[in-house]
Amino acid sequence: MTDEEYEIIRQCLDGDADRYAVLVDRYKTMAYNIAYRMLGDADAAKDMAQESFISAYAALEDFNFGSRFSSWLYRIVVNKCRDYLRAERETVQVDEIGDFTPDAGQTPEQAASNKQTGDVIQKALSRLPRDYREVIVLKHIEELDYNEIADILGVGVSALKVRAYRGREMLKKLLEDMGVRV
Amino acid sequence: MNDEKELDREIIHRILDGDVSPEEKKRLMDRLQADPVLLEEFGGLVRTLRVVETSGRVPVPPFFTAEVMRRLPLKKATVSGRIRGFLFGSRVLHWNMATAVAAAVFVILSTAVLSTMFRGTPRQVAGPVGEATVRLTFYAPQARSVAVAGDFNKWRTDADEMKSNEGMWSIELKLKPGVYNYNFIVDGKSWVADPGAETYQDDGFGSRNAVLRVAI
Repeated sequence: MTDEEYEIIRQCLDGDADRYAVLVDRYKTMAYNIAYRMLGDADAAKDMAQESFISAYAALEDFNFGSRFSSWLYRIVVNKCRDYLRAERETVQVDEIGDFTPDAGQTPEQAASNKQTGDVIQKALSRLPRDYREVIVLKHIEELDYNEIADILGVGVSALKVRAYRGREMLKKLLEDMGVRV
Repeated sequence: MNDEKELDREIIHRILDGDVSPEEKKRLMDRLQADPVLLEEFGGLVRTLRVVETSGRVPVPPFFTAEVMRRLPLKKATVSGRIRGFLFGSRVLHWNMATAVAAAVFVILSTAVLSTMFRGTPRQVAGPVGEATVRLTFYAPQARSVAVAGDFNKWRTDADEMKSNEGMWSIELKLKPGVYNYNFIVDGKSWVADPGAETYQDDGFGSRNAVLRVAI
């Protein structure tokens, strides 16, 4: 969080809404990608990420100067995604996973550059329990540190590490079951 | 034995978390050399994370920011903000003949009064008759050029190029009263309906135009 961002937020609170575009532009990639990895659906991810920015703007009066705007925003993104998944009754489409088998001889690196494998990874993430998925996405895809993740998810660091442990083990097993040699 | 295995696993995950101690790391290295199964387990987890980490980010859909900005709720400025904005904020004046006449009358009257107190020449700004000045803005920081084309310039894409200020493109147009369809042209090829338009109209080809109403 920079002083510049605090100044932008103050300008928004002073009625200069155009300045908010700077924050949207700065954090849209992470917000959209977190939503995409959480939901596995591009349209829903776009909706949730955009809704998150709009909700954050509407609640700017509640922003705690001294904290990070990014953490505050990501917390809103995660909560929007949770609400979405709850509404969908956690019915992320995973039933096609069994049909998917990439080439057996690929190394993981080759596979990662393959779009099909990208899809498999997304499907494997979607099969993780939500608590584990959140930590894997924030820690290993968005590369946030545990303190920031704790701030976003409202969970202690120790508990997050347990979730990461279990999530990684489960993800490895899921990818193996789906034919990705790891 | 099971306790040993469990400890090995915990150290593996501490390495993956990046918070392992040198002693733990040495212990694990020794154990990995002695236990091929453990080595395979460790390698599998490392490769799993590598696959996930290299899966990359998906690109954000186009016009994401513009769509968010268009949907922002109206927000009332705080009292201090209103004062600060009044004193220091930049502003755009939409003016027409009526306001120009009123301003001119005000200036003349003020001059008449002030001339009894000071000697000097007041500055006066004259505006076009029967036209309003309209300012259009469009946020597109990645764009290299943005122009506006519409009914008012016979849809010429090179007639009204906008200027950028840190990605906020803007232009002021002097228009007669009426209703105008228009769109932005980004980088000379992408047609975009103004996300900030009040209304839109079907263009008859499956897309839509932004609509601008100008009144004097």
